[in-house]
Parts: sequence; C-alpha cells; structure tokens
Amino acid sequence: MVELGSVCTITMGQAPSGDSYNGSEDGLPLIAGAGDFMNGTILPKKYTTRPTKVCKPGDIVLSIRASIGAKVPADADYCLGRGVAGLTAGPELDSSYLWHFLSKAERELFSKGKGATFLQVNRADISELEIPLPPLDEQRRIAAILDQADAIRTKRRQTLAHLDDLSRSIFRGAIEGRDWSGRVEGIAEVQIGPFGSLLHKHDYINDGIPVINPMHLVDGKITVDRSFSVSPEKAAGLTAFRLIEGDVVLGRRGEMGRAGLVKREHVGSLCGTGSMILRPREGIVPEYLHALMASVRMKDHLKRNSLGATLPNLNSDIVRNAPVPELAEDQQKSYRSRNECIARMAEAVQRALAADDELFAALQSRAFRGEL
Amino acid sequence: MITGDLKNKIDAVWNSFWSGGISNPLEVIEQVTYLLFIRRLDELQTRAEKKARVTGKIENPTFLPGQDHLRWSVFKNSAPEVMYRTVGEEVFPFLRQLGGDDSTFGEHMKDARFTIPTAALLSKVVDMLDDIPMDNRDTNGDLYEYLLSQIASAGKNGQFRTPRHIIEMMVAMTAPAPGDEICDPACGTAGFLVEASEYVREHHADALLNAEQRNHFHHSMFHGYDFDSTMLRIGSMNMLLHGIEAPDIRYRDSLSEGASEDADKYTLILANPPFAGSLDYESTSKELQAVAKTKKTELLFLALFLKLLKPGGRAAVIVPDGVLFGSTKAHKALRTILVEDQKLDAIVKLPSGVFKPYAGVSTAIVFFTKTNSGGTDDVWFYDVQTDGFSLDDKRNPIEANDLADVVARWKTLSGKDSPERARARTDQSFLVPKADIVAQGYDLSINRYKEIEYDEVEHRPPLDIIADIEALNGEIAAGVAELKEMLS
Repeated sequence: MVELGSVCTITMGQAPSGDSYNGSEDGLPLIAGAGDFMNGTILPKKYTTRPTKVCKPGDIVLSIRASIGAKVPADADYCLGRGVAGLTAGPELDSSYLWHFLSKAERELFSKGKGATFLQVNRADISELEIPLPPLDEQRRIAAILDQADAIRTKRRQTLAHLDDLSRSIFRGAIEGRDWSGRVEGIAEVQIGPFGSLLHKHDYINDGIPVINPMHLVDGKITVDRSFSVSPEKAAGLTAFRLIEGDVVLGRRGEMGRAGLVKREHVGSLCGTGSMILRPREGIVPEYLHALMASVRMKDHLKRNSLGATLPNLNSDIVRNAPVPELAEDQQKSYRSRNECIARMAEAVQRALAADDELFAALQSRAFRGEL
Repeated sequence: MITGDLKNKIDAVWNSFWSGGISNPLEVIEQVTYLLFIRRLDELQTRAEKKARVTGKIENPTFLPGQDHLRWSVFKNSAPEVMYRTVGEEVFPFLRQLGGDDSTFGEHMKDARFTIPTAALLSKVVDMLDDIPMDNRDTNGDLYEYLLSQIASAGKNGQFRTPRHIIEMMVAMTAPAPGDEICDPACGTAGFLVEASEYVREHHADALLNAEQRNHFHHSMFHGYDFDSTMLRIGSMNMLLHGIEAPDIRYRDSLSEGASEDADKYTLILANPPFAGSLDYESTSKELQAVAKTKKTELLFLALFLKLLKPGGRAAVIVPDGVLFGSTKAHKALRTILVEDQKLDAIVKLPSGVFKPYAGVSTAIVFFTKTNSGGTDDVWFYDVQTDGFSLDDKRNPIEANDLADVVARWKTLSGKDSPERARARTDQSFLVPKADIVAQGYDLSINRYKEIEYDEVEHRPPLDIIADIEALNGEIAAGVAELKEMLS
C-alpha cells in the first residue's frame, strides 16, 4: 500500500479570473465542477482566455466539491476550475487501474468532506488515500477484469432500455392506423376522486387504507405510501372511490398522463382527490386501457385540454371526451400477452442486472485487497 | 416617439419627482396633468384675446381682469418660491372652482390637489412642460404616452394597462369609421379611444375635412367611463393631448343601476374590462344580473356591452380564458347568447404572458356583432403564439410576432374565397361552424376545436429491437465466459 499522492500527480483546480470568462469558445474550455460533467463526458459551458490549472488528455478529472468523487476522463486540454482536481498517473501506475481505484475509494473520499454549505475535500484528502501497488502488468490485468465486468452490466442496461422501446413499439403497432373516433367514456367509466371536502387533513393517518394521488403514480406503477392513508372507517364511507383490480388510476393535476394499473395488492385503496378512476367497460382489457392512458398521444391531448393557469387540471368531461382508437377485444388481449411477455423478460434482465452489479462490487473489493 | 433630448428631459423630471418624495407614478402623472391643463387654459385665453383684437370682445374669458397672475405665461417667469406660492395658493383653488371649460375635463378638475412638494421641483417641471411645443398634436400625445407607459402597477380593482400593441391590433381589426360612436366602459387611461382616434385620422383623413364629421369626431365619437377619478383625469388629458377637443370621459360605475340610460347607443365597443375585480354586488344593475347572475365582473361587463351596443354594433373585448369555457350557469348563458342571439365573429387566443409581469392570466379577445337575431355562421379562431415579446416577466422584444398575421388573415375573411375557409383545424387559425360549437355545449376554448398533428415518436419495428437484444445477449454471454476465463 502506498499513498496515492506518491504515485500520481494531483493538480488542484483554481478559478480563473472572472473577466477572462466567455461563452464564445475563446481560449480553453473550463470545467468549473461536476455540473460540467454529462453522462461520463465533459460538457463545458464557459471558456477562459487565461487558464490557471490545466489537465492533459488521459488525465482523470475528479470532482472535489458537493458531488465528491464523480469523475470523467479528459479527452483534451481543459482548464480546471475550483470544483475539480486533475489526476495524472505516474510511471508506476496504470491509469485504468487508477480509475477503478477511484471508484472504489469514492465513499472513503466522500467521508473526508468538510464544509458548511457543501462538502469539499482538499489535496491532502486525495493524496492520503492508500492504494495497493502491484506490478504494472498485474494492475493492467485487474483493470481488464473490472472493465469486462463493467461492460457486461452496461450491456444489460442497454437490453433493459431496448425492452422498454419494444413495449412502446408493440403498443404503437397495436393502435397504428386505427380510427380514433372513439371516446374514453366508451371504453371506461370515469369517476373523479373525492372532493377535498370529503377528505380532511385530520383524516390522514399512518398505516391505514392507502390513498392514491398523482405522486403515487411513478413510471406507470402505483407505489403505495403507507403514511398517506386513512382509517378503515373513513374509507368505508367513501365506497365509490375504492379501487378494484383492473382499474386505471389517472392523475388529474400537474403532469398529465400519469397513470397506474390497480393490481391485486392495491385492491381497496382509495382514489385520492388529485386522481380519477377509469374502470374498464366490458370487453376492455385493463392493461390496454392503462397503456392507452399513459401513451404520448393521450398525454398530449390531456395537456392541451387541461384547465388552470398555474397547475394544469383535468375534469371528468375532458377525460370522458378524449379520443381513443377502436380496437377489438382479441387484439387487446394479444397486446396484453405480448406486453406480459416483455414484462417477464424485463424482470429477468432486471434480476440479471442486480447480479451483474453484485459481481462487479465483489470483483472490485477483491481487486484492491489483492485477492483477484 | 419620444426620443433623445426630450426623453432625457422627461426622465430627469421623473427622477426629480422620485427624489422629491412622490414615488407613485399615478400621482406624478396626475400632477403633470394639472399643469398641462393650466397651460392649456392660458393658451385658450390667448387665442380668445387674438380673436378679440378683431371682434373687440373676449368671448367666454377664462381669466377675469385681475387674474392675470394665474396664467401660465405669467407665473412661469416668476421666481421659484413665488411661483410655488401662486400655483399652490391661487391657481389650484381657481382650478377647483372652474368646473366649466365646456368639457367633461373641467369637471374632473374640481377635486384637483396640488401635491408637488418643493418650489425647485415645480419650477423644473414647469420649465420642461414649457419647452414642449403644444401646437403639435403628435408631440403632446407622445409625451403623455411616454408618461403613461411608466404606470406599471396593477390597480386594486383588477385593472391592468392593456399593452399598446394589443390595442393596436384590436383597433386595426375593428377598423373604426368616421361615423362610429365608440365606447370603452372601463376606459382607464383611454388607450383604446386614443388609438381609435388615431386610426380614424390616419385612414379617414378626408372625412375630417367635413365640418359635421369633424364636430362628431371632437364631440360625440368617443366615450369612456371609469370609476377612478384619477384615471378619468388622466384619460381625458390623454384624449385632449391627442387632439380630441371634447371627449366624453365620465365618472360612471358601469355595472351599477345608473348605467342603463345608454342602451343601444354605441356602434363600437373596445374594452379590456377588469377581471376578478371587486364588485358592489348590492348595487349591481338588476338588468345585467338578469342576463348573467354572477359576481364575475368580466361576465357582467360582457352583458353590459350587449346592452350598450346599437343593433349592428361591434365589440372587441379582452376576457380571461375562463369566460370561454367556464361551466357556471352565467358563463354558459352568456356564451349561448353570443352564439345564438348575436353574431359571434372571432375568438383570438392570446398567449398567457401578455399581461406579465403584472399577471400571468390567460386571456382571449372576443369579437362579436350585436344583431339581436342571431347570425353566427362560422366563428374564426386564431391561436396567437407570440406577440413580439418574450413571455416571461422581462418581456424583452423578440423577432417572432403573430399580431400582423392576425390582422392580415382577419381582413381576408370577408372575401368569398378567403384562404381561411380552406384552413385545416391544425392551422394557427381556422373557422368553426356554429353547429360544432353547439355540439360542444358552447365551449369557445380553441383547444376544443384545434386538432393536433401527433408526430408519434419514431419507434423501430419490434423485430429490429429484438435482434439488438439477441445480439446483446450473445455479447453478454461471451463476455461472461471470457470473464470467467480471466478469473480462473
């Protein structure tokens, strides 16, 4: 184990003088802090004609303020601002090995942060990190293993994104070229959530019957918050707003098109004041109704027709009259079975991704304990 | 336009008021209004005296013998302290008793109060006003406009100064003719009336050569009501300085019982009535409530306009969005009247930033003709996206501006083969047949009729995506095998 500072050059950033800033790409691009990192690359907003500290291609740019430990590889010369440091691997250190080491040391580095408004680390904090220093060949071998494991989980995430696309593509295929002359009211009963006067602040308790408001509709799913619930007695008085399996809950305030499908575990929950219940009519497949309400086109339509200047708001008439395509029941069912197939795959990939993450963490910890 | 030297002078006076302790822009304008009026009295007298040299007798003298020191041309030359004493202790009391001047304006002066705090400030203002050539209608009007543009606060009763470019558009669309009787029942600084008068001057210059027409123009064409006496003074001074000799700008609570005498009187109403204003419900005209039983001032004003217009008269009215779709009985009743009993011509939807930074309220302009016998065929809708200014609180000028297009398209409408007839509902403007509006329960919001072209996000065919997934799965499998090798 050696101190990081003894095998790598640490350049602490320094803000160039304010009058040298410009947005017209004059001089060197400036990395002020992690705010200029974007998805693993550098996206500078300002330039400076009088750079103070500079990094070279191949250096690692490390955030030392606020989001301490975030890092990107430098692909060119940049001016290092106050929020970052540049790390250049010395002759005994492989830079890819250093990269992985910094990932592993992120938490330790973060714990050294000091400061009242936001946390910050200094040169000593970085320099004092202890890094195992096997021979260069060994370092390269370890880095290659970690690269490989990282590549696997990246591809797994891509697979997941593709499955998402696939699901949308399948829905689009199902409704493509259809006649949008139907109305929501033809395929679902629309029931607006209880008026505020039916649900008072003092009605809310912990661990009762959950109330579903737009904030509980996340990524197309209902996420129950037990602290947002009412007593069973109160809920019993609001029977018209109790959810049954297959209902679609649609948010009617704020962001449009937030919708969740009521599964078995949500049965009996209450539709909140900010939501409405769409109960599929005979011959309408709930999953299809859900996909329809969450579709881009429906979202657009609702957004355009929503009322209210500050907070967009839907009433039941707007939703009842929203146009929908005509789709036969067997086609809806075929959409559902395809969608379910994708959902199962996505679940499997999700589990594989969890395993990938676990594998990577295991390899990382062994790598720097000399057990790899 | 007020530019350069003159603008700097006015700005300097404005600053003097501020540092002199008058920070309310309305009060500044009010004081300037008094002084301009005092100067005008002097000029009228001078003119009468010139005439008297021929006729030998001064007709209707404003200043009696012994009152010469109250004249602008006299006191402007005295020392600041003397001037201050004269104006405060003699000229203003004189103003208050005057009451005449044969115009409603003299009437507005009866509660004139002198509030300029120091002699130095008064002399500065008098010097500045004296420098401005009063015989030039344009300069006068522009000077006043410039002062008015500084009124930057919303009134207590829901009044907002209507942006000048919106007024211009409404006037251009309604195209006032010399024979019109124009009324703004909530006139404020009389911006609509001033713009309408300028429009007539510009487009019907010939008509004003005719004595009868000219008399109509100066004495009976423009009518404005307000219930804020400061606004009335300012409004009528604004008209005066734009060269209207005796505009009818009067105190009137337009929504109260007393307003009924003017029924069927006007041929054109241009207005931005207060919304969400406070209302003395008890004294609200029963007749208006019979049309729309509501406390909403915007609806009561619409009901009032229907009453004030002569059959055949036109109106262009700024309303808050809610009027177009509101679901109360009164909302629906009024919309039904507009569509079924009168002729609803157009709805021009404005972007919601138009009244910023004072209010983010979303508004539209309703154009209708009073017929009392229906006649709505197709209603023209226009969705204004930009009015030439950014829609945030800063309202910086920007390049994009739909307003000229609104006027241009509107003007083609009367033609048989107007391009508007062929426009699809996905366009920025289009016509909607009455039957469609009835079918929508008289909802007039543009979104009810506008169709959106949905450009769906481009999705690749499922099989392509699956091929990618398969390839990835292969790579993952190979990668895992390789990794296993590396670890063994």
